[in-house]
Amino acid sequence: MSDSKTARTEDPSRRRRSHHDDEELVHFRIVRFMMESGIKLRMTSVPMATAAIIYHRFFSVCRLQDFDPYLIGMTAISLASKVEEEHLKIRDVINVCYRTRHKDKPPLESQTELADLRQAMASCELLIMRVLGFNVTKELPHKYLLHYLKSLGDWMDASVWNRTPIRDTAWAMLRDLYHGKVCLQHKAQHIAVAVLYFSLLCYGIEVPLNNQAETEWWKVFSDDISEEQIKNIIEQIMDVYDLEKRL
Amino acid sequence: MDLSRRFSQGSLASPPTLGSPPTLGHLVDMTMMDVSATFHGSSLRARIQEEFGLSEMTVGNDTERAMSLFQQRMESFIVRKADVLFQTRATSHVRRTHAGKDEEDYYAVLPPLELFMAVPILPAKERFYKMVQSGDIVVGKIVSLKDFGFFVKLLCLTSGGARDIQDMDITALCPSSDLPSHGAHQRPIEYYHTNDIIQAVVKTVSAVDDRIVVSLKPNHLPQLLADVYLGIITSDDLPVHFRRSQDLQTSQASYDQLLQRVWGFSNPSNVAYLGEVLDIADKHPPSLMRGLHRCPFPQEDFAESLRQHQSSKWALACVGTGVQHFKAGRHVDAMQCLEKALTFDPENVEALVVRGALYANKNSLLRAMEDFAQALKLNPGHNNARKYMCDTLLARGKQLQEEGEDEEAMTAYQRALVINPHLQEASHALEQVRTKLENMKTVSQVDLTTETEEVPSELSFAQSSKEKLQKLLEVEGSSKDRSRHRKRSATEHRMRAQAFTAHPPAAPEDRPRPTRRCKPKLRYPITGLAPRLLLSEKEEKKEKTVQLKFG
Repeated sequence: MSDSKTARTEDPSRRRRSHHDDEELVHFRIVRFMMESGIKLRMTSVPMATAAIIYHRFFSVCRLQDFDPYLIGMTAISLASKVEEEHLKIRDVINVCYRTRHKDKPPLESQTELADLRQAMASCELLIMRVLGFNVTKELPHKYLLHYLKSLGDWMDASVWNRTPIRDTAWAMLRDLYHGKVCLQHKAQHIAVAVLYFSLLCYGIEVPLNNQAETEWWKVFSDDISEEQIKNIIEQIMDVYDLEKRL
Repeated sequence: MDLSRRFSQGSLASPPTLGSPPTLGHLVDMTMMDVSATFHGSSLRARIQEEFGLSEMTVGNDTERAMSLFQQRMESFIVRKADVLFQTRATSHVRRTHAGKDEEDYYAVLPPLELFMAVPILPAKERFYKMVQSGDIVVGKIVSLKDFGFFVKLLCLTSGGARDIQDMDITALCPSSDLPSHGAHQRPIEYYHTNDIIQAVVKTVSAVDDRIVVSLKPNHLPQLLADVYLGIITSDDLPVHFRRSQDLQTSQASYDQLLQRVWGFSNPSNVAYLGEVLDIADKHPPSLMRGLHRCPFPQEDFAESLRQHQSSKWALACVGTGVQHFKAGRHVDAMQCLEKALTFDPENVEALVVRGALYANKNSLLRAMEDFAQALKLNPGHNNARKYMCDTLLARGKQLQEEGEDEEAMTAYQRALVINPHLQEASHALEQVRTKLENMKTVSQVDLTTETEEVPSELSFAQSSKEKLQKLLEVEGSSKDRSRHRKRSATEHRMRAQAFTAHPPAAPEDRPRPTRRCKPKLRYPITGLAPRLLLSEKEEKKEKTVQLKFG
């Protein structure tokens, strides 16, 4: 009796977990689509990150089945470009997103279809704003990461700092982690410190005199974080990279 | 593993199988990988060797790490991403900025990290002696003056980044020979006093006995920092990070608190600025994801190309309907369509050619020529454009000939011949005009001697301009005589003065105003003398009265 009971209780959770994983994969795919479009639109990292956050926040409230996630993604890009004051022309956004989505079809030529998409995007934008309660800004880790890199770089040995691509890798990791929901779950400073820690760890570089100092370097940058938390965030980032394998 | 066996046999990597990352060993920087392996331990090293099929790497002192779950995951990650992480790339240099006042608000300049970390002084001092190089700019306080130079206690570094050395008690020497002279009367050393704060450049560092020599001469500055000021500075000129570190001693704020407080942190463009300083290319953003690494997208998928492609498609569609209208005789509609096409794509060659043809039909030849000229600029080989351009030029030439502007008609025919040297009509017409002009030239020379009023249009440009200049001079000559006055004798001056006092000039309304410009002038004086000298006596007197009025 108890066996069947446990079997019954296990089943739904497993189903839920796989369903959840599938959803994660779908979101990963859409954010990948957004990142591709962002590169073709020559967007910089900050508006790109804002767009990803808008997307994730929307789908943490709404269900995936009710909306076309690609449309939401495209609208998030346009919205983010307005928020971060790096304006993109809507025609460009639609052209690029259409092309990225339908790689086999020729690029958009019909004026009517363009007008339809424009209309769709306008209503979608209002919908997203309402869902997010008109609160579309969030403090981003990019500023913090750059300042940490500058401060740390002044202290490190110049030859090591120039030769090892710690800065590029940290920046790459920061961009990549927006494929997952890590960005929503932690403070900006914590993410920045974790990414920098991760980058240094990958290359096996140690901060000079860190073990003899009173405060370790990551504690200096963000005094309310523990090494445990940093490792947690790093594991979540590695989870995001694992998702790519399953694509 | 199949892959590793193949590699250990020494063959070059074949194209990677689906799913496994490319494992070409020579694309990877071995030293970087070595450093990482040394840090993480022998297990990572073994895994890398296995993955890459490399021969035994130099086994240095690998730190043995506890194999926690985290460590295992870490190692798997490194191995999986090794080809991207350790990719050989050019050394990227952080821009060597000079911590000047301008930089203060571009981003949040904070006191040096070691201050917050509170590193022990002795190791830090050792490190400093190893890191400081000649060419670094330092700020220090003069502690003692001697005959051969003065000693400076170093306070901070200003180039290349913040560095706190105030507590380290490092003294450097600045010899007299490295002081710029401040005048012939004093020795250079007498210009400086104890407790002056100076900014100097490091000349030599001797690692053996930890002696630093600084200099105040600008020729010791490195090229990138060639315009930095060396010499006495006030406390206002102290670098920002140093001043902030002074404040830190009293306020004991944390890094984060200080960051939020500083103005430069809220500067919206500090991301772009720091990105540039730290040499992180945001234009080709780096990524560790397989799909985004190395920007694999073709250029025509980018926003600008898609837009251009779309615009030209729309423009061509409009041109099509425009041509239809034109053939049906609806010229107004055709023109509208063409205008629409050109708003979509202003550089569309087809649209320009068709619009040019429409203009030519309406007989607005100049506008037609402009359009054809632009079309040919964009596409010099466009056959229709060339044909229409020639036709229009011919028509224009004929038009000009009718108006009498043979000069310009000739240039029109010549342009047509440039585009199409074989055009018979153009060469005929050109010959006609040329002979006509030559005939007229000989006629005009005869005309000149008979002093006709009207200017024959066949005169060469140089001659007609000379005429115009003379005309101008005649008009000017009446009003600007002062400079070309003949010399007066002393008696004449006296007489004139007397005349002035005896008969003061009448009120302006009494005197009849001389009408200067209505005088009949001799236009083409036969003798060729300057017009001024041919004026009659009466006219000269009139000018003198004019002189007095303004004198």
